[in-house]
Amino acid sequence: MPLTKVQTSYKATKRIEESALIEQLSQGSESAFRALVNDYKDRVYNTCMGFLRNPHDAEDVSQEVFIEVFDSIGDFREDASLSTWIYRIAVTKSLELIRYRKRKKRSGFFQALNGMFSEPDDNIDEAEFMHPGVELENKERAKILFDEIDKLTEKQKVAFTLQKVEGLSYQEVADVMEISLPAVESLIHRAKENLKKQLHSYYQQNEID
Amino acid sequence: MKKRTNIHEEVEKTLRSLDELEPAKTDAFFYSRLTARLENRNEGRYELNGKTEFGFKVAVAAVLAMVSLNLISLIQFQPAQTETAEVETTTEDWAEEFMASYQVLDLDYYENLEQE
Repeated sequence: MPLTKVQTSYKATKRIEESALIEQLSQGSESAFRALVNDYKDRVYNTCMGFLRNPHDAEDVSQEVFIEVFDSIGDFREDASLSTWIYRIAVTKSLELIRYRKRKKRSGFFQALNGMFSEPDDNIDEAEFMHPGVELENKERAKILFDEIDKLTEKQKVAFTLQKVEGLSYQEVADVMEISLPAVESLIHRAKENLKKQLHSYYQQNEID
Repeated sequence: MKKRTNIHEEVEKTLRSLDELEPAKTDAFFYSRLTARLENRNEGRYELNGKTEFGFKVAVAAVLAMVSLNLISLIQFQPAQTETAEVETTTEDWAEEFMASYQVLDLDYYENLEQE
């Protein structure tokens, strides 16, 4: 059997399985929900970690993603695949938290007040945290790279993170972001160019021996 | 020149630092924590619904009480006004009668007296 036929057949089988799972989820099946969570929890957590770089936030947002899936599975129209839909929720929720944190940082007075009354756990220094998947010898460089990724535009950041950290293909990134494949290629290309410039400037300022 | 090459190399190495990134994973208790959160949320929702329902009942009762009080006041106020009017009318009639009997308001009193 040719490879393309095998791939098509595999995709069709997967689609049927997915439809059955969605049907069960719509009927409130707990076993279906457990299967879905176990299947997607690491992918969702890794995506959230790529954006948030904080294990507590990543855990919290991952839970919110599955709660959203649980609540709105009835509205899922199967235009996209289930995984695309879940990734989309994970990205949206992560970006919402980042925007919220930025707004909070801007209001210095309220931040000071919050600092006075919040628990010490709320004040984790995100700059000090490192993605657990980074190899030991790359930790310092990866930290610098993550800091520079944060300075990219939101779209470039999403495309680059999904492709580089989560390891999605360009087509999968395009599906999640609901843009065309050339648009994704362009975004990732510009992200890489910007990162090169930013890193160049960083290393010029922090001279290397 | 050497410095520039070093920077270029460092930039390339930094860009490649995520190439062999291992995906971050949750622990085995993720599902338990998630279901606990869902249950807590549902309990919270029921509590909130209960509170809202109670609040709504209190609000409706308060509005009904206010309306009833207003109606009672209105009903009580209207006869009172009529009585006052009646009293006022009675007082006026009595004054006229009194004045008539004592001819207090008789402007022709002196003319009549002279004629007499």
